[in-house]
Amino acid sequence: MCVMYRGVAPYLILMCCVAAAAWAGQADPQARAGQARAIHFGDIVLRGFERAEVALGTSARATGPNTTVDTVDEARKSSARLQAASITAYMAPKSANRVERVEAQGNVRFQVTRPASGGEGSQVVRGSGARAVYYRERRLLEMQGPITFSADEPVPGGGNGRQTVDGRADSAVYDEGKNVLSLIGDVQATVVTPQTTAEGSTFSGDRVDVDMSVNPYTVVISVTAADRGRVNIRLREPEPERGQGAPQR
Amino acid sequence: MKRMAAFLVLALAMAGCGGRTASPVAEVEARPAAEPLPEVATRVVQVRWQAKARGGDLVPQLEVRAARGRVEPDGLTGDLEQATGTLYRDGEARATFEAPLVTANQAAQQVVASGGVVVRSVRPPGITVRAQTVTWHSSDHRVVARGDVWFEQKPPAARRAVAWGGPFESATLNTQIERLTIP
Repeated sequence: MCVMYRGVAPYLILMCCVAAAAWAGQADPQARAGQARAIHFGDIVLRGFERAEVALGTSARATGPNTTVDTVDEARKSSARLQAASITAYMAPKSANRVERVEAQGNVRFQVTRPASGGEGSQVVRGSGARAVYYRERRLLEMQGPITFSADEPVPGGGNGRQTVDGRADSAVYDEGKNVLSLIGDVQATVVTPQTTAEGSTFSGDRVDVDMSVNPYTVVISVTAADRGRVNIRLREPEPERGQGAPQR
Repeated sequence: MKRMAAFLVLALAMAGCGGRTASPVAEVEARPAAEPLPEVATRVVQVRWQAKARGGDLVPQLEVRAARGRVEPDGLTGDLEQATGTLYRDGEARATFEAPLVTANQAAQQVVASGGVVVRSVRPPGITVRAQTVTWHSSDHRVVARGDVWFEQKPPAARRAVAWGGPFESATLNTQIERLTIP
């Protein structure tokens, strides 16, 4: 069974694509004076850890409940924060300044802020899971959970209107090269847009693939049993056009 | 008139023969008698440790040189001021250091550098550790840095540092100072 659903992807993808895009923070040794303790390892920055083990040129592992990786992508004007009980970064072979892979384990949380897709305001994406691995060389982010995710951004040209999505799944994979996000296992999501009711539209499935290489994005919901896939779209009643039903002067 | 230069080297102490040695040495340069004699131009205090390699050969373990210092008669223990030194492992130089004060205690297999210490890696090159105090435990090839510890990795070909961190209260490193553990 396969259900096509358009227009949801901009919210669903945020959980993973922002994390993949925001690992480009740069260290500046000249500006280090006065900073809280931190480890700049290639192009990531580790903070908030209680213990760290660094094999220079190879790997850096930091542990502690508030271990944090902060990155800033100035080109994309985005920032990202990843927190976990344990975060390990591995340098790419034959490279001393480029991290190939980042592994986060235990109470993984992330938050990404970047310009909204409509160019007005910012998107804020949050998520959590049990484990996350970002393969930088393959441009692939894997999250294992259960995972939760949410996104919020203003509606382009929509005044104070906002679009949100939140939900959960067993795991997720974002292929940055193909620009495809896959949510896998017992996917449950709620989408609220100006066109929906306040409760929003809900959908569920065993796997949701979001193809972001096409415009508009295409969402494919796959289920293995007929009773496991559901789409419930709740649209707001259209308001009467201006002048309709109004007394004629 | 043809003059010939002569150099007089005064050895203050020579310790050990074929084993671990420590040799505080003062070098005095003598000019020809016809010229005014300057005061002592150079004085170097030097401590060296050696250890037996697997093959039985003696290989360097530690070298420390200083402008001033006091060395015990056995030549293996002493306090050196404004010192520079080299740490070895398996007979190969792995790191160099600079410190206002260095205390070497061969019996304890321990060297304590203090007063603001800079340690630089030799193999691999490009790693620098700075701390208030650095203690080298030669028996287990362990370096413990304490007080405002910073590290930086800048490979020779790199335009800027590729890794750096601090400040830490303490950090434990290997002799090559390429592996750090921060509690």
